[in-house]
Amino acid sequence: MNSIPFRFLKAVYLAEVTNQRATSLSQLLMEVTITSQWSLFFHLHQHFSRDPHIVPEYPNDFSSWVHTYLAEDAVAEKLANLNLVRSMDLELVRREICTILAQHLQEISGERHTSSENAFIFCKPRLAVLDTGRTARTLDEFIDILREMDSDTVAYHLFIAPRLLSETMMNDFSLWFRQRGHHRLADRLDSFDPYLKSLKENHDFLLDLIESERADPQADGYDDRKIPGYRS
Amino acid sequence: MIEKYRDIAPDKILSEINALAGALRGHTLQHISSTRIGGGVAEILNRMIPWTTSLGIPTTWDVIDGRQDFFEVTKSIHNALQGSDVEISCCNKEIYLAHLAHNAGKIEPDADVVMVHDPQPAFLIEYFPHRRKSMVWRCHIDLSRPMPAIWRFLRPAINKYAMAVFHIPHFAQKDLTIPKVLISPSIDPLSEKNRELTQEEITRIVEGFGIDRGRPIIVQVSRFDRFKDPMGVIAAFRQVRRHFDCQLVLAGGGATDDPEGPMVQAEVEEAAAGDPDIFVLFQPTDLEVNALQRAADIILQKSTREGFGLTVTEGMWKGKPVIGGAVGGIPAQIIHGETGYLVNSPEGAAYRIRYLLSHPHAGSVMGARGREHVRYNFLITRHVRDYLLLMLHVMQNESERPVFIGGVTGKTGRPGGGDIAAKAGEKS
Repeated sequence: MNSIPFRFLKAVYLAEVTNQRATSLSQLLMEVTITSQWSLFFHLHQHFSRDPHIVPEYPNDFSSWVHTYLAEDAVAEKLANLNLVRSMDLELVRREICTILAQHLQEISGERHTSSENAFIFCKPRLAVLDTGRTARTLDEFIDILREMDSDTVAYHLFIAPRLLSETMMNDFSLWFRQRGHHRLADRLDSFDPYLKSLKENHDFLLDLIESERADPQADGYDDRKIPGYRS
Repeated sequence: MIEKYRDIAPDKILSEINALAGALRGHTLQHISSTRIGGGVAEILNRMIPWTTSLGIPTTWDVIDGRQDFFEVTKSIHNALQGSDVEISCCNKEIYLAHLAHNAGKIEPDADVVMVHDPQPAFLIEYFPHRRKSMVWRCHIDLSRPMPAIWRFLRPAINKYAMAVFHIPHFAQKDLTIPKVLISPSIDPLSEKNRELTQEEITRIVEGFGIDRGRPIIVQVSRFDRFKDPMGVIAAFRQVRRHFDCQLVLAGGGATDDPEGPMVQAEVEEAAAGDPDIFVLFQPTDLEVNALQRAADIILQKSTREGFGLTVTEGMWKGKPVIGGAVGGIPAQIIHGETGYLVNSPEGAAYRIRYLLSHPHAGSVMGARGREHVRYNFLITRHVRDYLLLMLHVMQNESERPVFIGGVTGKTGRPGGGDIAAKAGEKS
């Protein structure tokens, strides 16, 4: 088994405002249908980097806006409950949002509108991907570096790279764990829902997960110390 | 410069500044504005330029000049863009354009990235067609409801810039065809208005106004302007006073360009007359504002219309729960129920004040969260980082693809080496 290094990256972005706006659920449905994947991603994830320590009451911009400005709380709850962890493909997420909105619109006779000052304005990220300069070849190195990294590195490898920048549809950590034979660790990470936690909590969870896996003599994978060049 | 902010700003933002500056070192930045002294833009640039210069990005600042009639016209344009019902005559447009033609002969936008601030110098771009790809229009005003005639006059010039930058999405006019990005304003934690103060300093200043630190203090700092709803604040306070022994401080000045200011102040003073627990303070210094905000139990910004609302930022930075009107940039700052409350009426404000006064621990928790929220999102360090990011995006001159920095390429971005750049282009 060769030792493929894990290169720690992170991303920073500016929000770019698009011309798409909605002041009602039917307009939101229309715009979600045609907006770019980058815009969808932005509105589903921006709270992670904006407030790394907070889990907001409504965990994405769509649900928050529907709650705050349309007071359609049943719809807001459904949008808060999107199955993001099972739908790595943003097209599936788009379909789920559209289904929620369309079903609700079919059930009601008249819909609420908010003012243009309170419109939902679609944005998308303009990314810059930064190299942190740190590379891990072993799980020991990996956890030492991950401990020093800020949470945005976790956001990059957990959300940004797999959803926006890759065809793999698997988070970078699980991908690397599997490449190194740590299948149980990858399975445990894949079964975890990072959308229920803040970015800082996700960072801590990942560290705890790897620590517990390293401490477990039954863990699969192989001993890092057998790799040539291992630093003790 | 970075060292001064260590232990104040998040490490992650300081390291991002370092990484971005590394990619920009040796490139040049130029600002063009209408004044070097007074006003928000001058204040921001006076703080920003030492930052970018210290990061190895030579930064210059040019200021357009003009006679008084020019600045009278630009003031009218400024007000009309913010929604005031002001007409700009053809004669005034000629004065404006003639002065900019004169300035175009004196200012050369020759840096790698040129930021032109606000409407006053905006038409300069007409004189430099070969520099358009490096010029950015930075809008610091509320452009959500411009007078249509003046916007029709300005828009063709703005559309010639490489990009336009706004504070919040609602200020970005839909009919601009160029990329529109967001950069929030910021506060400087080392400035006189925001630096740490000792309890002795706070007590000395606050008690100097006759305010009792032994009883709860509610503070709103803002201009005496109807949109800041000072009368609504007094109404809310009077409802709270039926239940709690507390004090209200309304502190602020009047803008020189607001003829209503003295009238509103007089109304507020009349409404507060005879109530020893309402303190109306006119034009406090930055240090006094700092002390008042730090002495407060609750900060209010009960605006009915607002630009960004940096007094909300200042209050949260001081670890206070903030109750703000759900307008303008305030909802972009207050996370309802987490860092404070958004309200829509004096009754809403009164209820939230009563709740916080009867749950001081909840207020402390909100205040601590608010301070963290500001630390990550609204300090000058995040602002510097965003200016560097803007420079990179303008220099890359490609709207859709990510910028890769520090040896990252499409082939090396992921373990296993997927081609990340190729997919980025497809999905955006």
